[in-house]
Amino acid sequence: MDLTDLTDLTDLLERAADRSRVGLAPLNEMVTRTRRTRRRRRALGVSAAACAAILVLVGIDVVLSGPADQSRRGVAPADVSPSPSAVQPSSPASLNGTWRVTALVGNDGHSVLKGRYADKLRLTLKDGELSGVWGCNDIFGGYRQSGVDGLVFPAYSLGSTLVGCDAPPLLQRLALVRHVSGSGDRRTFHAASWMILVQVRRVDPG
Amino acid sequence: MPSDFSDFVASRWPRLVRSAVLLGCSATEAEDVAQTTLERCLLKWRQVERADDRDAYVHRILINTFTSSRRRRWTGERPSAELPDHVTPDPTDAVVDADAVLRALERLPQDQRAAVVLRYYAHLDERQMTTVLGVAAGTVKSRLSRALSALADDPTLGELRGVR
Repeated sequence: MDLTDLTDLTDLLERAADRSRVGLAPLNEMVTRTRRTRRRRRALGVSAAACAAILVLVGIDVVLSGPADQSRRGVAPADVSPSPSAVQPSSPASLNGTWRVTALVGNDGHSVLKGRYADKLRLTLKDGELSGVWGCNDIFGGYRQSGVDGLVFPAYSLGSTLVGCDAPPLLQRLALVRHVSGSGDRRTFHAASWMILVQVRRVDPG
Repeated sequence: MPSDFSDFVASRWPRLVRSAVLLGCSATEAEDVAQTTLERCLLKWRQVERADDRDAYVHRILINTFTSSRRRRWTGERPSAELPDHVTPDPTDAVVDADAVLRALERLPQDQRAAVVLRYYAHLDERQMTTVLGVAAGTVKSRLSRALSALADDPTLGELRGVR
């Protein structure tokens, strides 16, 4: 067979195609579905923009808050196990006395009290005044209790001697403290979000 | 809805549906493919209006839609409460011609089949076909050449042409 006469092929195709019955074009359905698609795309666009904005804001917040305020990132200190009292804070009553720091949250959320510093951080709290031993330095400052669980160590009041030694960042953590919980001979200092920053155990009553 | 869209649909609908049939769709599926094609046109109606060659643009969407529908898994089928098929008198003689052509087209590879439909049913020229198929002019020519050669050797189609 020779298909050089291409009008034959066109004719064959036309006749074959004409065998198919074609209904009316569903114009209204097309328009409705197109509108729906547009609405869906618009909603998706808005959602994507909102997600992007939230991610940007969270990113900015994380960058600006710095590593110390890990509570905002939801990072729980792994080695600083929260006691039941941290979840349901009880009245800490008076903090007067000398306290040994048993846990101190580090930049990565883990306690930084290892080896040689495990027993070298002590705080003495008495009627709003703080003193203590911080590795090879002495620390000093003030504190203020309020309400049932409010506790603040005003950053401007905190200071230390300046012997060069590699001590954990106790003062930085104390500056972030906003709550206290615990009872008996244990206390836990929390950030504003209730993230555990410092845990102490009473050495002797004040 | 753009005012000229309804005119556009009215003028293109039958040929788009039948092009889809020749590409290999069932009658029902062909209407779905044509409808999806026109919906996509409506979504980008300004681009369609601005297109240098509106027919080439629309056929490109048709080919893409058809290809996508072929990639879709069987679960893409939608259940229907009513059977789409209706009992009709047996128009055997009339069906034979169409059936022979469709069977001959079925034996072609899909790219050659598309080339034949676009050239000899949609009446696109080679330049338009390069746009629609996204291939070089040489490729269009070779596809058409192979397709015509295969159709010329097709016994069913040969008998049909002999009858005519």
